[in-house]
Amino acid sequence: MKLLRLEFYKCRRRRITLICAGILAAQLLWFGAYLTRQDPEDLAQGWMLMLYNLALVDAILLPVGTAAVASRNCEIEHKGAALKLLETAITPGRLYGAKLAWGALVLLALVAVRTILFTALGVWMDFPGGVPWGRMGVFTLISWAVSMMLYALQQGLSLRFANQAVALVCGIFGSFVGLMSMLFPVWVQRCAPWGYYGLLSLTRMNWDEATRITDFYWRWPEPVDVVLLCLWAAVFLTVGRTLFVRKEV
Amino acid sequence: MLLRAIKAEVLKCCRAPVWLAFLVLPVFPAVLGTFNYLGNLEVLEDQWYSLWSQHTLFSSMFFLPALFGVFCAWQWRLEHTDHNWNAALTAPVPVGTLYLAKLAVDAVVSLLAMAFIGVLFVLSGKVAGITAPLPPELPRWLLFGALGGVVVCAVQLFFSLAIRAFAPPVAMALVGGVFGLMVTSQGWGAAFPYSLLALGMAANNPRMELPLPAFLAGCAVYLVLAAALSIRWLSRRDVSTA
Repeated sequence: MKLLRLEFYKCRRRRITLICAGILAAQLLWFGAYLTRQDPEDLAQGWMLMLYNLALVDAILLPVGTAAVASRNCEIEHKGAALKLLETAITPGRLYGAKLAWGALVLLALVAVRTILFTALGVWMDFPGGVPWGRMGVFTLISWAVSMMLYALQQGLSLRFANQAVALVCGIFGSFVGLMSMLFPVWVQRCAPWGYYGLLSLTRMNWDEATRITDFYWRWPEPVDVVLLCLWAAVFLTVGRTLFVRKEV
Repeated sequence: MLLRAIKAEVLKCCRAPVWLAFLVLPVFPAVLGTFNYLGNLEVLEDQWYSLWSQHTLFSSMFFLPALFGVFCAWQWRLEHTDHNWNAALTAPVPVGTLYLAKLAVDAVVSLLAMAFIGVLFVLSGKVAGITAPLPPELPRWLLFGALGGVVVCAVQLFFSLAIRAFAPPVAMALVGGVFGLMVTSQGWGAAFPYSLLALGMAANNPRMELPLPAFLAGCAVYLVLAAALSIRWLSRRDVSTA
């Protein structure tokens, strides 16, 4: 707990809130602009439309977003050779764990605030059918779990390489692959860790070519995809932690 | 003086692996775009033009601005670290020249990136079995895309100069790209710096006639504005080398 509190102290002037606010603002802008182009009959499936769009915009923004948050937290240790001092007091494994817990809390706050904001938007727009609280909760959990899996990857890279360009290029690449993978079959999405926002999405879209009508429907994620998500997270955690623990400082 | 400053900037880039990002990352939009084109041939009937939109639509909106953001952040990182500001600002080189030299390197990188994207596009078209002749607009898309890329770099150079960290300017480039998509869809692409790249590349609609006066005016305004702000920042602010 003390180490976790220290992580929050270290980051108190690193404008993490501003980065998170930027991500939220971009998501709100995206969905706001999308809503302005919809007819009233399109909004009959407003909640499904919202979760479908959020999965899409998560796939674009959160890979780079998690890369930016992880980079802000990890680059402080590269400055002034802080790791040399830190590792005389604590083991690198515990430091790695504290940083991961810090990231988990920040990302949890980000997705929770996002859910509150978008639920309020849905209520204000008067989407029919009442708030699907259960699905909003599961969607929040999925967004957080996928982001944590990517955060484990990004933290590993940000701690391994002092030059943060490596981690951020990986984040940009992830954003692109996450978005593009949605256009490909499921097995391709399963091979790309950034594609899990779309893969685990709670809504799918049917587009009727003849009538040009778009229809959304609810679904639950496949258990195999949840297992694969855990596997990806375990691989990133193990490799990232091992590389950090064995790193000569 | 400017030439010597550019030579110094090129020297700083030597042996830095940052160029790898520009060589490796454009391959993915090309491969994924081509697969998507081949998977939707019944809808995408416009051969080279359809393939171009598949290659460039997402990459020009989200991926290239952020990639240019990484390059610009890396350029200033060299000065932000190891007390290099002391050396950079006591050298007998005007701050304007320092900024313009970095921008000139960005312009070359932007041109090379576009040339590589063009090569990948032609190769992908051949692999996809497109038999029609190459679109005559291709050099224009690449040239104006490179110009849009220079504008993004000019703006990102200012952000990376003012913000002494790597990640926030890159995140801003991504958010700028998302916002640029909305601005472009409203028909105001020439008025927003991050839209100019996609507009120049005609990523949204390759058959579109580029509004040249508005596009060039947008490029000129943002280039001058970003350069003026950066040079003012460099000449008025005291350096911090911590």
